[in-house]
Amino acid sequence: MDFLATDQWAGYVAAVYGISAVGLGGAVLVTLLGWYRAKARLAALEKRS
Amino acid sequence: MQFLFRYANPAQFMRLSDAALPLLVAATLLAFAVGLYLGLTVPPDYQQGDSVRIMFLHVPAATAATTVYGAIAVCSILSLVWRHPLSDTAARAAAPFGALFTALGLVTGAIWGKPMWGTYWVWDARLTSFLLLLFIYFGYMALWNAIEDEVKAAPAAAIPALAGAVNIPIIKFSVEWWNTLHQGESIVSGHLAPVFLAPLLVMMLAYLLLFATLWTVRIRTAILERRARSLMQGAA
Repeated sequence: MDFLATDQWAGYVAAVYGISAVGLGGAVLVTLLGWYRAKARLAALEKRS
Repeated sequence: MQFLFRYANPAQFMRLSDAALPLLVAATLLAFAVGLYLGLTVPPDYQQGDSVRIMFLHVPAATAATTVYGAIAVCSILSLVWRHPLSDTAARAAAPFGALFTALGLVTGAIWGKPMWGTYWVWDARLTSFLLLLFIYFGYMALWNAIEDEVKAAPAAAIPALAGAVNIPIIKFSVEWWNTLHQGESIVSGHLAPVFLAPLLVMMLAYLLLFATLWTVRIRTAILERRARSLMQGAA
């Protein structure tokens, strides 16, 4: 399998896949944190009122 | 139009998206798994070697960047013309993802440019108009954040958003209208070998599904935040 077999451009390919993983993974993380934070805040307010 | 209003008010959106999200997550994960497997096992290109694998992340990011802007433009029209209750929230929620995809398209393109063109950056029409898209996203988000009252912020952001949509066809046709270092369109024209086309299309789908999933979650978050604000105002 040629999965990780790359030629002289291996550094460029790895950099692109690494940066994309960090960018997309970060977006997923921030979005989920925002959702859970908003959910917890609303639950606390509803409990108080 | 009645359909949009019936099924896209906040309460209906929460109910429908609750059912749709597990399907969206599953489809996104499946598309990424298939796309990455296909993309990382393609044979080297006869000219570009293994650097052709960069295409499977660069092109989907660039496509998603312009698609997200299209979504913002449609939501802005819905907001300005029909005062659709959810369109402002949807437009605002999409912008950070559009900016991220644009930044990823620029960075991955620059890294691909170095081995293929001998330089990370040139001020040609495609690259420059794409960089402009990033600044348009930043401006749009800054406008939303600058005006505290959402009711006033919505039209103030929607009008420049629609003006900025002019840049989308410029990006698309820049490689035809001007002499650019960036290559021309190769998917519809059939210039791409099927062995590269299949992983590219799957990865484009994966990026769009990821956007749809994150966009849905972010709209849901904004609805909850709005409910929390109204509860606080009611208590005060």
